[in-house]
Amino acid sequence: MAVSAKVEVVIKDACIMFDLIDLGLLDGFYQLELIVMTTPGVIAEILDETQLKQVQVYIDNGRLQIDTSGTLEDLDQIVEANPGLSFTDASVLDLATRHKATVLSSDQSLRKESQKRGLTVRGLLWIIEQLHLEQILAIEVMLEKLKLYQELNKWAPRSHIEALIKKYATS
Amino acid sequence: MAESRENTFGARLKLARKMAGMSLQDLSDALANKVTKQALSKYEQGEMNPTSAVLLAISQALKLKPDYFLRKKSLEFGDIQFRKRAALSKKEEEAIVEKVRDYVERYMELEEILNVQMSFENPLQGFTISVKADVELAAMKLRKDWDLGDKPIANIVEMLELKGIKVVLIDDADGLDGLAVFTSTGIPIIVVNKLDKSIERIRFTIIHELAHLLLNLSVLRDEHRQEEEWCHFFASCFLLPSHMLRRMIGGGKRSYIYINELISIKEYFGISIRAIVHRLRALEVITDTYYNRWIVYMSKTYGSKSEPGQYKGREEAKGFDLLIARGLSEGIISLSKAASLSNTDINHLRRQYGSIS
Repeated sequence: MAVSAKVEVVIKDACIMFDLIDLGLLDGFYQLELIVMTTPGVIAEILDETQLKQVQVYIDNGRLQIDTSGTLEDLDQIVEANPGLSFTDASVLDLATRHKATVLSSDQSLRKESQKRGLTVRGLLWIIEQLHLEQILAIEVMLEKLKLYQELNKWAPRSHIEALIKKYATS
Repeated sequence: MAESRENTFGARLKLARKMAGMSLQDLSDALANKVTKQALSKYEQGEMNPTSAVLLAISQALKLKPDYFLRKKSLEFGDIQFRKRAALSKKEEEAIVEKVRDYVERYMELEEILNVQMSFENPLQGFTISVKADVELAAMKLRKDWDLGDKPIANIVEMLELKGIKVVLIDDADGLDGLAVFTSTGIPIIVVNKLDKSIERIRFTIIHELAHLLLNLSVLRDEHRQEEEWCHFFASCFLLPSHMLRRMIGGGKRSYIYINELISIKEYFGISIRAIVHRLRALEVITDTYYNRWIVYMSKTYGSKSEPGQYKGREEAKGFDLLIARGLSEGIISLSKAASLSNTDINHLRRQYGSIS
């Protein structure tokens, strides 16, 4: 893939994918200059046919790479050492560690363990801000999406969203 | 490490197949022959390792989360006592046992992660039962020891969970009525089939199974029918203490009883009219003849199972969901792990649990 990668990203969270879909940002996300990878376990967590179809488009065109090389022994070791994480979380940690990649996740537990391993961790707010900085989203649309994120996702980090809105609403 | 995982995977795969009621060939077929029957057999024997991608495919074919196959220890059960509605084949019995094992294992794993394991002590340990009347004394002792007073018990499942008893309500096993079993580590488990059962019947069956777990009925020397009858009696006494029934129906003998009186008691205590009438006869409040007339009247008017009136309470296990919520809110478990433990999907959990950050 001829991409001048600024960051190499591993998507964990099926949640991040769900959020991108809910906010209508999936297409914009794949316009960012990133190498995006995930594991079969993450894809298996997307059970909704419509959501799966939307993600499949980016698998088929190569923008979302699926890495199947994780060994069961490695994943087993991660789960054993971190009983609060799942097999799928372990597959993301393993993949990110092997590629020294950034973990994209909004999950508190996975973020904590990723940081412990020295990995860079980013969430949906980072993506939304990048979409604006890369001129994929106009400022008004970004602010609209931030407000929508708050409405749609009970897990959205409200204080961070409000800080971001404040930062751009006054600029 | 690798050797222990191999053995773990093989053993878990075998249990998972039993749960699904699948042969090696069935599973291979379900995997569209991407994994041969021979390869599956080698996994089970611990002769070969699946890749993580194959593990994922197997878990999808068996409708289980991949984490199921990573659990190191399988829960051991003691002697399982099935109460059956109809004959169950060995395969059906195995499938039920494996579903229960999976649920309790997930529950216990969650408790272990959150460090909230509960121990169980049987208050009726050492309580001697020589005659049927002792069963009522046992029921009253249990109410007293558990600080339940003599009022109705609102949510029996929740009450038992707080006492360290796991209650599993299922609705996908036609032939099963209920079962009771202790794990090898002494954790009591009650399983009740709620399919086509009224709430009063579910409550009664739960306590009936509790009786099987807690009472020492060795005096009956495995007289199955009498054992069932005494456990029924325990359930009746526990759900509706005699003195409360007498207080509600009047102290002495009764020649006639209005159906509305029974409906009121049923709706207050959550016990069926048939069980109340049965009890009134045992307490000699009504005669055998009047009891028989009631039974005929009930069958003719409402059919063999239906009754008027309905207990308004709910019987549901909340303990597991509360632990999931705690684990998520404290950031102890990930959403993916929560979905795996709850055997549900992430999207469902995202909508179920809110977070204020």
